[in-house]
Amino acid sequence: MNCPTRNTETIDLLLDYSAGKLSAMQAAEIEVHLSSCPECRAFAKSQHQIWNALDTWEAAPVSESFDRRLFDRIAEVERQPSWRDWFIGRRMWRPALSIGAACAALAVVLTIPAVRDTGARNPATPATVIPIENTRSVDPIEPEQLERALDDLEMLKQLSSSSVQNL
Amino acid sequence: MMAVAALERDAELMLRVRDGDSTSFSLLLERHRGPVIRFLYRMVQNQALAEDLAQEVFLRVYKSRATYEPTAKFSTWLFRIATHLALNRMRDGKHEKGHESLSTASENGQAAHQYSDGMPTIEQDLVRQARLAEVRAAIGALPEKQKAAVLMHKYQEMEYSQIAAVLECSESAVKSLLFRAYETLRIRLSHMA
Repeated sequence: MNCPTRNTETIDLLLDYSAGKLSAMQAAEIEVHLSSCPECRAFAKSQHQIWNALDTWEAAPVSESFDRRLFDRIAEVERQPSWRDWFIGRRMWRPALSIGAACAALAVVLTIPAVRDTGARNPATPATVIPIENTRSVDPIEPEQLERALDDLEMLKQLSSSSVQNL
Repeated sequence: MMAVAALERDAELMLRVRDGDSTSFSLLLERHRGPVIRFLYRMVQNQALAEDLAQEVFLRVYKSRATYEPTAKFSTWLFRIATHLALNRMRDGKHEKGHESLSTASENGQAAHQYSDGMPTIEQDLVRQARLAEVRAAIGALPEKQKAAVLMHKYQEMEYSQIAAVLECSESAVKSLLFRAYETLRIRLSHMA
């Protein structure tokens, strides 16, 4: 047997043994282990003493008026409207208030017009967008200019490749 | 077998309560009143408060009768309600830690132990009361869940699986709770050996 005191999964065996809840066969198996395990033997002994100590705590008898008071309370509940009991008893008013507050807040947010940033730039952040009114007008590129630029680029490319071959 | 029959009987009675049979509710009350009150008494250590909480337990059972389904043992459901109410009351701080005085304990009618000569001496009774106070203090000092687990394990003699169902945790967790609780009690009450 694996040592029960070193495994909470089997500690219940010792607890039940100390409480006298094990069958005769199980108890005999535990006692074989206890004969060779001082740790478990000490545990079982102290657990048995704890059990005896706890046995001294007896509960007081129930008061004679308990049932009468309970049925009085039940009668009171029966006299209340069922909707009140359903609503208040389940504390539905709490989530209902929360949901209502959330809806009211959402309505406020949606009805207030958004404030747009009309040009003020936050100096702390770099301007990534240039307002349209601040841009200078850009002359449209003529098709011939584009064609000449592309021809120049091609020529430069040929010149650079021929110079590399001559190295 | 008898225990299984009793459990099935509880569910059967509660189903009759669901169908409007008040006599069945009285039978359930008769059967479970004592264990629930004794459990709550040891949790909150105040008899009047324990009975008040127990009334709340049975009141909730009665209010829930229309929607009752026997998905778990009736006693598991009962003790789950009782545990929640006790823990809530203790956390709210409304629980008055008025540990009953020795004289109050006597007035509550706690039976004196019968000693070998039949009548306890005053000294023996004082010693017993002192030991009882130490046991109550040791139990009272346990963390809430450990306390509930010990009370259900020791005084209600519940199986680990049922304690787990009441505390809504695993059996492993229950065994761990009990191991730590009894370890604490062993240290605190070792001088009583």
